[in-house]
Amino acid sequence: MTPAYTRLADTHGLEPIDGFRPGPVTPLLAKGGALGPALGGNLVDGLAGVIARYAYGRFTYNVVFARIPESQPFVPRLQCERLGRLTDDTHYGFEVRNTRTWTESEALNARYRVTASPFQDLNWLRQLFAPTFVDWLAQSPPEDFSFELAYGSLLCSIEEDDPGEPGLVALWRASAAVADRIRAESAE
Amino acid sequence: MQINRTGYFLLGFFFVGGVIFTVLEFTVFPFPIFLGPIWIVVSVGLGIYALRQAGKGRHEQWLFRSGLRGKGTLVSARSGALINEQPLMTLELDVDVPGHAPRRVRRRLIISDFAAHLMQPGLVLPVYVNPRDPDDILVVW
Repeated sequence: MTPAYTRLADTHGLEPIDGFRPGPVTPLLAKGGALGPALGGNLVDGLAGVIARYAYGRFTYNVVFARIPESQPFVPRLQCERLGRLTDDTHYGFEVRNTRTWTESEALNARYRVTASPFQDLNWLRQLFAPTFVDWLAQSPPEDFSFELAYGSLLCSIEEDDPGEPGLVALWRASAAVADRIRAESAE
Repeated sequence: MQINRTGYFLLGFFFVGGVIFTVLEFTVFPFPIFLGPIWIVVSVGLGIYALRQAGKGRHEQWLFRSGLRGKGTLVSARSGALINEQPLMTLELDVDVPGHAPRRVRRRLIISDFAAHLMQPGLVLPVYVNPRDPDDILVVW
């Protein structure tokens, strides 16, 4: 356990989790890295979350994982990725595209690349990305924040290797806000 | 699927090249090697395939815009051949659309490698159903 994770556990009442392995359930987790140390706790009311360090190859992230299965029927796949983020070194240029880029929000476009299934219900996306949520995403999360939702699994991440306790707290809070927004929209 | 500019260029290149080779083979060359006719047959075949896929793509767009929105609960998922390193999967879904009786539908889809691992029974996916043909569905994955 790193000092930052130890302090986060102490100040936020999170419990260490040994051997946390959710499997390759989101694009980033499918890279096959190792998770640890990991702390679990209440992310938002009634929703458990896990914050962990995630590393593969030369890449290291700090991530928050949570399950929101009620989102599946509305948005199978959604990625809101920081512009310019690289998650691997092997791009041949001939990858088959099976996502569609959503570009309706200029505020989001300035900071993120938002992609979803090619036949994603656009009205649902517009409702999810309500102006208040877009403003929040554009201004409030950590600078290197991204999130991805795949078949009910939410993974929020920052790219800083060792963000310290304040950075981890900011990630946890931003992830809670994203999870809360997705849950609220899925319940409507 | 939609054919892009590179695809049009390749189809045109092989068709025109095939015609030129065919003419040369039967007029200038000492004996034909049938490279030109092969290029023509391949480019025509791929052109027909591209047109069919484009039609399928237009139909999917129509279903997306005009279909009835519902939910499909995955009952079973089997993967078969790989196409472009992506598995061709057979999905069996229980489709539930407001105003229609529930029905079980089977679809074959090329699904990305990452998503294919997650196609497990119980997964709920959005679907769009043709209002005039309840067996005609678009699965959003």
